[in-house]
Amino acid sequence: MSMLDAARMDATLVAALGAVLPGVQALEGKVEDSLSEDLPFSVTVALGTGPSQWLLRVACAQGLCASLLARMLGRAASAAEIEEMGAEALAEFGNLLAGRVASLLGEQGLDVEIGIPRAAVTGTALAGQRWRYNGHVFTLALQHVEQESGT
Amino acid sequence: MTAPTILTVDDSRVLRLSLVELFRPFACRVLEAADGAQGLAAVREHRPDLVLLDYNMPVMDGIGMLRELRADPEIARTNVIMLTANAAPQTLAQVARLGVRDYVIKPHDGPSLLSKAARLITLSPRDSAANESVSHD
Repeated sequence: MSMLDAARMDATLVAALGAVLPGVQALEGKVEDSLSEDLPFSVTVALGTGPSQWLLRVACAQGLCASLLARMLGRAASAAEIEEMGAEALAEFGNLLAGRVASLLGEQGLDVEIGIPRAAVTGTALAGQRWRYNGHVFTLALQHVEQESGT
Repeated sequence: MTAPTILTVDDSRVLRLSLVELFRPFACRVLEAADGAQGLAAVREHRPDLVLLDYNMPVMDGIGMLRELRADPEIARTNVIMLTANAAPQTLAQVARLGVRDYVIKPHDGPSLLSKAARLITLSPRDSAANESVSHD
């Protein structure tokens, strides 16, 4: 049984997103599958609370990767830097988001570990919410999975 | 006065580059390492004035590197600022016990990190000489 219900986890994720990416805006409507051809870049991070695991996934187009990279560097990124490090900027964003979620839950007394999601679920569809940052639309999905023994 | 040497230890190339950019206006040398093991080797070789150390890393994480650093009398007094995405009280208590001089919650706020660094090292505006950045990847 998860120590966290979905509503609490959702609220925590939204708070974390606002802290990590100030100015982000929620868009109307849910998406059944956060991965799409329009959003070819994605990062999935696992958050573990005891025997349960939450998967957090961000999917976006290259424009958001470029925007995240520019934000991290404190300057506009060159085309070569975007090509070379854009996906890495997205991965770092996923880690920062997961870290902030863990911080917020930690303040509530929950010890949350951040890890690599199991391969079996990495490619699966996760329902999510659409967001916009700096003109770029992306999806943020959250799903609870029970951790199998021995994994 | 010799320009200070700063070592940034983070598995994210993007974050290492962001720190190189942050310190670019100042007369200093910024070295890079991608994990705690590389970081320790770089500290032993270059004796940096300040280490900016990530908490979560593969191979050897920030806590592992800090423990080894503090256990070696030759480098035990190295200034360390910890960078962590996890600001949970237990995390901060753990790094405090290992004698970090300060910590910064990621994503870092540039002016705040510069201010914390300036308490430990002298940051002077860079003149004509370009900052040197060395990677230990």
